[in-house]
Amino acid sequence: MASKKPLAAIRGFAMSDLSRQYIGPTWQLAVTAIHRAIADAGLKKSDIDGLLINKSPVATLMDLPMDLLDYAGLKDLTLCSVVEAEGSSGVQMVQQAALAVQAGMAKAVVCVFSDAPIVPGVSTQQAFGMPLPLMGKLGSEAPTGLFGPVAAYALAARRYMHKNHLTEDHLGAVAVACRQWALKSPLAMMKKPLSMQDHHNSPYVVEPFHLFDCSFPVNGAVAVVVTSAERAADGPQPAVYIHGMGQGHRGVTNRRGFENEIEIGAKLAGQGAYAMAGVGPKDIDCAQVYDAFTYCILLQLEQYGFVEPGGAGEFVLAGQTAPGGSFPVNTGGGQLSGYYLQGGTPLSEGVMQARGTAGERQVKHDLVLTAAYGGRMMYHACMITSPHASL
Amino acid sequence: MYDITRIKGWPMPVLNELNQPHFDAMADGKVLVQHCPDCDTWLAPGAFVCENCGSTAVQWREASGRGEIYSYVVMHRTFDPAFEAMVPYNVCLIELAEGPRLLANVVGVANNDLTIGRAVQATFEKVGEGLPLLKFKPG
Repeated sequence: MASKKPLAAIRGFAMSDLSRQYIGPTWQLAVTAIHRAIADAGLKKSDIDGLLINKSPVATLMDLPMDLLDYAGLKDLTLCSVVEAEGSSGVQMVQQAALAVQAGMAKAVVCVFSDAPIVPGVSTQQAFGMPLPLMGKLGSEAPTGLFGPVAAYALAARRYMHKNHLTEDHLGAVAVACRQWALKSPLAMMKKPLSMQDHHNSPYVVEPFHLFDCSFPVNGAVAVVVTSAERAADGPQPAVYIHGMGQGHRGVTNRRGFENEIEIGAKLAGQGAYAMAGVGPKDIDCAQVYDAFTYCILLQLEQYGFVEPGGAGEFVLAGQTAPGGSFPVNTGGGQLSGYYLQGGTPLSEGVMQARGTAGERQVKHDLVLTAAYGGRMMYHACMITSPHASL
Repeated sequence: MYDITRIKGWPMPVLNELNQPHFDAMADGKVLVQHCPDCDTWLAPGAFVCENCGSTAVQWREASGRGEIYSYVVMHRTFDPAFEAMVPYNVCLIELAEGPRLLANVVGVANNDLTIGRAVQATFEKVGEGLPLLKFKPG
């Protein structure tokens, strides 16, 4: 179904304040982002007829309940749902909103992600330090002491590094590039320059991951308003047209026969989005991808076709994804140096880049790829956006 | 995701029909995994159906206990008091000779000497207040 016409567009975008301190409950951050996004779209609350909600998979539904619509003062909605596909939900919400708009089920859909993992008395390190098994159904993690997403990803990264002859320099290069971008972003939380030596000197959390291989939680919310392409063109802000969308879900393939660390669903998601937009990886100007850990950027660069399989380590080490490089990636600092709002992180930077409002960090943005995933890289969603209504 | 409980002071998954035989067999020094008799595929514990052919006739069967290190990490901090004295400790993903993979600690080797592809052999050690647990050693 190759089509050069946009599927829908992002007309409004906003975030709540972001903080590494407690600044209010999850629902309150969400309401702030929703109200700001509606205002940014030049709309009134009464213009909104759809609400899609995404909470963190480790939060409860009570943190961000369905009746968020009441808290936000939204009425007479024709679409309201919680979207739950772990970290891929940030992009999936926009995809579902685009489908609803295309089908005529709603005219203006607000999509919101909100999270407040840092609460009084809990450090940012403790916030995601829960025993979180991520290896599959059996549950052999706890007796072996494999706790937290860091450990599960480190296990995958080690295999990937072994396969591609990578060292900690290649991981460090990812962290350094993200920090270079963060220094240009007023929203980024990590503002101190980071050298390769700083990366190597930082303590191991789970070897091969040093502290600076890991993202860090913040409290905050991001919201976008999705409308038809025609309605978005009338808005006060530059429209961000959605030209391609894809998903790829392979489940837990780490049981036998697969290389789960390498054969992730991102490839499938990318193929779908490229086919829908009628473009290929070589046409994309910049990418905003989910970087919970440094290794994740390397693998996604390969899976989305920007680099040949096995070539991402050298590509990043050569500075190609950093400011001034040939292919900018995570231009807001990503989750590693910007802010960790799960799928909301790439979504927010993707919108700012595609709008051309990214300030000092603005790059060529005729075509932007925004990708997010969840679980231990089990669930993938991506979209291709542009400031141009026709490609 | 699953709930974690404590058995003899050690963190364990809540046992059910899909994982209990695997853990119970550790007391007898056996690596018990699952096997599909219809297509002769060995499966990691926890399978409802055979991931190869879809058969529901999956059975428990003893594996050889031989395998190799598929990947490994070294935990430099932990979130459970049971492991605090062990930091830094390894957790390895072991690919059994029969194919399926299991998580386990590898003993009898320094963390710096762990390598992907290294041959290992099942061994059993008591943890906590005497709970037998499957581990692997070089061999």
